[in-house]
Amino acid sequence: MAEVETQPGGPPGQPMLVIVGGEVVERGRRRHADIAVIDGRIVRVDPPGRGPLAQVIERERGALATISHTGSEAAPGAAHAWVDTIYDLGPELGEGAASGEPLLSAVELVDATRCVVASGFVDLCARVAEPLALDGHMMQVTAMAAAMGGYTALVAQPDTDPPLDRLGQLAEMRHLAATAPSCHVVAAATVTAARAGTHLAPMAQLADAGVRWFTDADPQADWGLLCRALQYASPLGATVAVRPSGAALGMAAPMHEGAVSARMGVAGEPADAECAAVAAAISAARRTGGRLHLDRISAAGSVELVRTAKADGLDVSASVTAEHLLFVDADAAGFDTLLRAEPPYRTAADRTALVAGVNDRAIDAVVSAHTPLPPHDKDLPFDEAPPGFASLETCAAIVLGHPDIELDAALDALSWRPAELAGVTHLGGGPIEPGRPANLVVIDLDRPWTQLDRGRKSFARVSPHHRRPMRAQVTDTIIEGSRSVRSSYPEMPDDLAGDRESNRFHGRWSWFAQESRP
Amino acid sequence: MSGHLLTLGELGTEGISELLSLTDRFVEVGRRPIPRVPALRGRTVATLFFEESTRTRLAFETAAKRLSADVLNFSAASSSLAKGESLRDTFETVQAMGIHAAVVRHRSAGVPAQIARWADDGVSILNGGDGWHAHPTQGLQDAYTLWRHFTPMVDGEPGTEVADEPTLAGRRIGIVGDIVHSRVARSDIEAYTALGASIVLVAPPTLLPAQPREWIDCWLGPDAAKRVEISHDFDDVLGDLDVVGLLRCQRERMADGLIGSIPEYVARYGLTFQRAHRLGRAVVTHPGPMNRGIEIAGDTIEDLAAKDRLLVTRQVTYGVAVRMAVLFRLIGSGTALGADDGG
Repeated sequence: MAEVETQPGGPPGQPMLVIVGGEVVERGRRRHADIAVIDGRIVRVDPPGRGPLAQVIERERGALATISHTGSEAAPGAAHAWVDTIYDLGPELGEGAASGEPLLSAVELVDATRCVVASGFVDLCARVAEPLALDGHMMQVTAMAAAMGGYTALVAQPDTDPPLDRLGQLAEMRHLAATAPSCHVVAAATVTAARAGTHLAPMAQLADAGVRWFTDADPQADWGLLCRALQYASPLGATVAVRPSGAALGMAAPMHEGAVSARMGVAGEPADAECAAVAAAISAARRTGGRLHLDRISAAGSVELVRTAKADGLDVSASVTAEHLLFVDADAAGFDTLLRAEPPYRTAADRTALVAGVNDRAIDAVVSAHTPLPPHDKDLPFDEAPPGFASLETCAAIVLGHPDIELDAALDALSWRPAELAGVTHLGGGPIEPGRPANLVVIDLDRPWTQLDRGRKSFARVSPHHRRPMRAQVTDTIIEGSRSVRSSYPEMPDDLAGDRESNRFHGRWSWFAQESRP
Repeated sequence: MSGHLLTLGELGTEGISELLSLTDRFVEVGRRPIPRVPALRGRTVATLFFEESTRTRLAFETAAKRLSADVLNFSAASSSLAKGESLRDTFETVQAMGIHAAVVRHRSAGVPAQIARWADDGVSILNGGDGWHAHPTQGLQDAYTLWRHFTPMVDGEPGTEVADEPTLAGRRIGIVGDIVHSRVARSDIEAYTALGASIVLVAPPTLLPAQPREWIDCWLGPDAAKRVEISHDFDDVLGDLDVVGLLRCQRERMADGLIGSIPEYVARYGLTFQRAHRLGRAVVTHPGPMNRGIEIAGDTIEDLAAKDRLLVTRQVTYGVAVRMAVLFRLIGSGTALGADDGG
């Protein structure tokens, strides 16, 4: 990065980030383009080698070549020469240009050659930290792990202790989220007070404060209450998410019910029990016209029910975890607690149906279901060990590298569709065009890696994927114009700690709080 | 044979036969005036019982002592979470005391397999019963009991090689009762089918896995699976059986809504006095402890015992010899099975 001299007494210039040489993929549109970002926003998207941006890139590369050739600081003249061309970048920079002051303090090139550039991923289901635990470090680590996985926004599940069911806890969560600038953390709130499943939480108040996603992160056993929640949330423009599970029918179990669980001597949750819960939730959506999200379906029958509900015009969406596109019940036959999942992994036929659902958009989103756990929590008997693991780093890589999932379907499920569902297209998953916030991800679809390769740079201690060869790799994550991941490595948390004090950062959060109101 | 004994399926027919043949030699040891050999002198066997047990623990302890091993006993509450210590911490603490084998019993399926992954090289893990999953030494003792009932041991000089191969070929064995919740049933099925027997699983549908045929077919492979039938009618199959293997029916199954009532269960699946009369030459096994009046009527027990057709006591006796064979095979030093010289 070449530093540009600022004029004595003049205002400080802005740094510019340029993503060079990538294939920009948006819904229904692919093009090769270079993207310029200033002050957290996209300012130009130019075809490669054309327009003023091409000149900037060329000159910047020249400046870098000078440094490398001479081994000394860039010659001031060389730096000044390209600043002149920036004057043509866009109308919003015209004012500075007129006064003749330098506009850019630095130019940083992100090499995206042979990579895909997409809008940042959005996770509809991740556990981050407990709102009243004041565990800022945990939140920072989770946000950093999310950035490593290409996420620029995640919806934090409210099943914390205590649950996020009122304004005070929402403020607490946002305060914690503000300490973690690597990824936008969007709070979800509970449907029922204290997640007790008996009466509604103050959903309207929470919606006024910007909450768009309500879930008890639990099976909803009371159908009448689910109907009331959907009715109540409807004018608030909010979504009610339920986890359809056999637990709602008293059939919760650590494994899928079938030949494998019978052989293991472990209780099984029937796929049909999940389907019954899905059917009940869909009938509630049909009755109320509410906006329903089915969080983490796992059975072939559930996919078919969602497909039918959508064909009937209901406002129903569904998600699946990346691991359900990968594992089947037999993978857990060795009692590996890392493969204890909720819902349980099912049969190969179910897996095939889930993959087909992602491809034909019957399933809207792939979620991480990230669950940070200390390793000793998995050193328990299979039926006592808590389900889940740290999955933010690997979720997108699994979907993007999946042999049976097309790139468009993968990006729809990881980025575009979940952003629409959560109403956060300004934080990720939105269009890539001038004036939009720069929440972007650069993906190399063919750069093999494993979590072990990353060593201590990886934040996932509890994961079944440590040795799994991954093909697709997130190389850079750009959040509000800053790189939180650089060449597949995180910007270290120490740097983040300093960053969180910056005006840019606090400004971003106040802006977000305003933007997310319905 | 691997360094652990987790399920009988891992042993295969060859491994099961080898252990049963070896058991003959330890039955002979048990008949000596001083039933003790120095085979495991200097070795330490820990019994890690996270779930209450009397028979299995005593059988393993007796077996280890008859082989001159030192025995460490460990008992714990069934839930590790309740103790605030992880299962792994508990095991590694015991392992650090310097053990050669650990017998693990736990109410959760899979715990011995998990512990086997954490064990150091040279430490053998023996499954002493895990949840509904497996109880391999019980399966071995039941198979041995039946083999030696149908093919009695030829008395020879102590230590002479026994010529006959363990087999249950041609025998038809009914396993009756709560099969879905039974680790004994799973291990018995593996042992009996490995030795060539045909099996009839007799239970109400709620006490069988949800798709029983699929379970058997996926688990046992085509050859053995062909020899396993499923029936919900005890009276229908009773007359054809060579063996009735009763399982313990726990009263809490009624609370779980899996059976209508205990009298109803007894009427359909209990070995009542009337059914006992239709047994013909068939013998009866039970892993114990027996629920008198539920899976077997009280007067039936005395009647069958008097006719030497209730093999429960023999199962217990052979249980010690089978566990000696397993311990000897897993951690034996190769010392000959001569009598203890007292040194």
